[in-house]
Amino acid sequence: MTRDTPALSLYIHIPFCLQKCRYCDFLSLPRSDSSLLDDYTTALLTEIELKAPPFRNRSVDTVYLGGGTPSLMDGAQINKVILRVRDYFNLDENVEVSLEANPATVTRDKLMAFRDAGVNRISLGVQSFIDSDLKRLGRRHRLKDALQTVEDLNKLDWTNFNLDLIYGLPGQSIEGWLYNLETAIDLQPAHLSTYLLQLDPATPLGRELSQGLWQEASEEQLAAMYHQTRGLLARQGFIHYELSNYCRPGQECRHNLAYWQGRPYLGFGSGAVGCLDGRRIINPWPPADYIDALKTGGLPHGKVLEVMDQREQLSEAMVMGLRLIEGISMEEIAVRLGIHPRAQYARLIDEFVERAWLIESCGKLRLNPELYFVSNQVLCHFID
Amino acid sequence: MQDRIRNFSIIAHIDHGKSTLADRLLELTGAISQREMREQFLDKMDLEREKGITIKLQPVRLKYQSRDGQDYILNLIDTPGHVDFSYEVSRSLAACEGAVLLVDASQGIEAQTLANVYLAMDLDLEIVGAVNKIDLPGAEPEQVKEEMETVLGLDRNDILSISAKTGAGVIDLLEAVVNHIPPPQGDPQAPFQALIFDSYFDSYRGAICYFRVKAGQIRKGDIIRMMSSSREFEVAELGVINPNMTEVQLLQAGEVGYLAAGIKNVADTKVGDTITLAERPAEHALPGYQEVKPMVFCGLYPLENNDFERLREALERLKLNDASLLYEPESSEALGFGFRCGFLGLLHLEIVKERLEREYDLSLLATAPSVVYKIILTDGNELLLRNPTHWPPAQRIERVMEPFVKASIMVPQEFVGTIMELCQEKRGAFLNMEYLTTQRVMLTYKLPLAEILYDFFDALKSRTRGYASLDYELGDFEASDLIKLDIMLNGEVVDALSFIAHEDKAYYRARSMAAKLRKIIPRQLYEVVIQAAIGNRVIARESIKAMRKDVLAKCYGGDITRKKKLLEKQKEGKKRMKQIGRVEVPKDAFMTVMSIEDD
Repeated sequence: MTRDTPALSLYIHIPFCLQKCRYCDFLSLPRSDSSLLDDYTTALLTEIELKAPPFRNRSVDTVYLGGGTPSLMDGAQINKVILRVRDYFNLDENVEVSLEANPATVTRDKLMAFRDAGVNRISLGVQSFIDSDLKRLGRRHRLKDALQTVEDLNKLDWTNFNLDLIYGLPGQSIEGWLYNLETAIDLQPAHLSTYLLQLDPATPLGRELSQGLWQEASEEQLAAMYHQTRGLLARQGFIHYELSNYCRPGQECRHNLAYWQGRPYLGFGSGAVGCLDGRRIINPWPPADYIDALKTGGLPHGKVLEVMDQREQLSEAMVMGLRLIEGISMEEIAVRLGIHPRAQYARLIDEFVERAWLIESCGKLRLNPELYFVSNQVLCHFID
Repeated sequence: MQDRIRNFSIIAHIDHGKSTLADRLLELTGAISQREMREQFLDKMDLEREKGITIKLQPVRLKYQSRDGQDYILNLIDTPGHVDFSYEVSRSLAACEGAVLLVDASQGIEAQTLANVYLAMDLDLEIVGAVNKIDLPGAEPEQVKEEMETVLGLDRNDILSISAKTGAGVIDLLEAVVNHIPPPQGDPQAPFQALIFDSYFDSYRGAICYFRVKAGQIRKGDIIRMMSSSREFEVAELGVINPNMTEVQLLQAGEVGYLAAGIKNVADTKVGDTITLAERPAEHALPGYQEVKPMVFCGLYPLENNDFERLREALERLKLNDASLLYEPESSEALGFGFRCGFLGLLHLEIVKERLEREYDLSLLATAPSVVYKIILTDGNELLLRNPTHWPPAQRIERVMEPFVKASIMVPQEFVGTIMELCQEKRGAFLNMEYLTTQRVMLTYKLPLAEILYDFFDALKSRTRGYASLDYELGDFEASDLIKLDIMLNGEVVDALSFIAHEDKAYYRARSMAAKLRKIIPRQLYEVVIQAAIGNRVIARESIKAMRKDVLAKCYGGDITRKKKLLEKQKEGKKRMKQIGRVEVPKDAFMTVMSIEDD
């Protein structure tokens, strides 16, 4: 390994939930029996051990426990997993360890246990502060749970936490959304993720939409929600750093930055995705298959999602990097991939800069903020 | 030898069972085995099979042993039924001595059939009449025979009753072909003369010509001479189609066959030209065919600008196989370089575009079709306008003329009122009404060609529950009050969207066009303003608001592949668009003018 080898990020997938949310189309199962969680933990420990050797000398600077609902696991289980990561990987002293939590599943004791295990960043799936919304979404927690969890974090002096919010909910007005946003700001999170509700027609809420049981807000209203969010959060001192993500200065989620900046990551757990040197692999799904594979002692055979050549990696670097508000550094990409974006996209870049769809300054290329909410219209041109 | 040859075509309306009869003839004469059999056997093109219609004529040689024990060679030339392809029919008929007229036993004679029968009669062809589909419940063969007798003057006792589907009566039909259609004439010892009635380009063998030998004989290795160009070639392959290409040593007066002679230049095998032999050339060329005059024009442009040369080559080669196609290069400010192409009708246009895209792997954009207008200028000059873009400034125009047709519409008597109303709406002038039988009426109207091009046929069918049929022949140019409508996108005139309309309907058509475009053009990153104008006067306006929202999903490690697939799909969508200035216009938008309703 050379000195220049970039730091690794580790993603650990905990695919279990109390129940499936009515808008969710991610890889998760509505199960939480403790024996299953134990078996799964054991499998994770084995996978970490088996996968680690080639990366011994590589520095790991972020670990992310996502789901699903990782907070369904108890403190001991999380502790075992992180300990195993510490034992087998070379963790950076400033390593960021994030964990996604559902307010209905955590207590102050559990949070303390997570902290003791090494978790230093919590991402809280709040989605809305209005109980009727939460019911509609099929969330188990209620307003009081969210407030309680934040209070617990405050008591623990745990300031590095994120709140996830969704806009474009059934029946939500611009005012309704801003109320949620203001409530969130009052809770003084270090980080805010605001997502536009995106429905797969196969989800219960998606079906309701296609059956006409409710109607989406208009394009104009949704765009207003998005752009007013930017304005409000900027006035409150938040930095907008990715299309859907805001933070206090210096509090970016470094793990997610690794995705957008094209750095390598390994995936652990059933359905987890990893990407290294242009090869993207997904672990076996469902969890039973994954657990069985590891019981027999071998590394599970992941399915190769894609193998990217230099040009495809460049294309990905463009569409992912331009999601970042600061944009991409073309020089950095040239050094990392051995091909300069201009070598491939000179005509496109010049045309888009001329149209002011892209802004070029000091070797950096970024999206015009006016187009954040329609970014695909620009990004799709960089797909070959 | 000649006594044992019969050359014939089948004349029938679409869906009256022509291709099924051809299938049965192939089967009963043993040209193909049951195993090889498939429906519409002679329709070689995928397009023909998908649409269930015949586009191209197709010759086939059958062997038939008649009831008198003699062996006969029957050359059947399968022909299309649609009015747009009547040029194919006329060429086939000119290579025959007779024609089988096939009429559906429940539908009766249709306008188009009538026209083709008259064409055959003009060429002195012997007509063998047959009523088809007698196995179907609604069949009324006797009534249809009566109709054929009254309308066409055939003797009802000579008309056969058959079912091409079951095969009933088909042998009797073959006997009638042998007994009633005269054998070909022509001296096998005279200097060689053959009429090219079709050709196509084969990448390996060069041009393949289908011909009918009128006099003399030809062998493989002979040096042929094309009489129009005097160019000479050595026959590399000589054969017949039975129904596969099968080489023969000799073809002589009366026979139908094909040849390949390493002809690389498409211009050297003109349909209608006469082939003779260099050694003992014929004195005169055969009469050949009347050149067809396409009356419907549109621009064809490659979606990829650098495909222009490929499109030129494709048109050259397709022209060989479709002599009625006309094309000349043109350029459009909006679309770049392309060709103005002339067609016999809209179906012809659609078929040509599809063939170019399929057979030559091109992606094409077609501009709105228009007829040819004749403009008399104030300086006395005449201008034939094939492209609305070239409409001269108003002060230079003395008057504008448009082509009219004489349309024959056959319709059950109860629909006469409806049809008259429709013709009125389409600026028609009543010419004649004739009772063919007590129930069926032939209406004759003079109509502007432009009016029957678009939705006339559909309207005709829908207002008569499908019972009406239409045929038309081109008439003269006559003066009309016409104006040019321009369409502007964000203030820029898009030349490829301009169209000609009658003054009385201009306002309505402008509004309707703008509204249609608003629906077809997707929201873009900026507002798009659509305006329709006559000269500088804007008479309709619509706007498409800027796109404000697109999919904005989370995008983390596990989502990237999915996200990229979505972006790829969005990019694919853009490929179906043509960039006009800064507006992305779906390529179908250019045909919008076709679907503007009139009321």
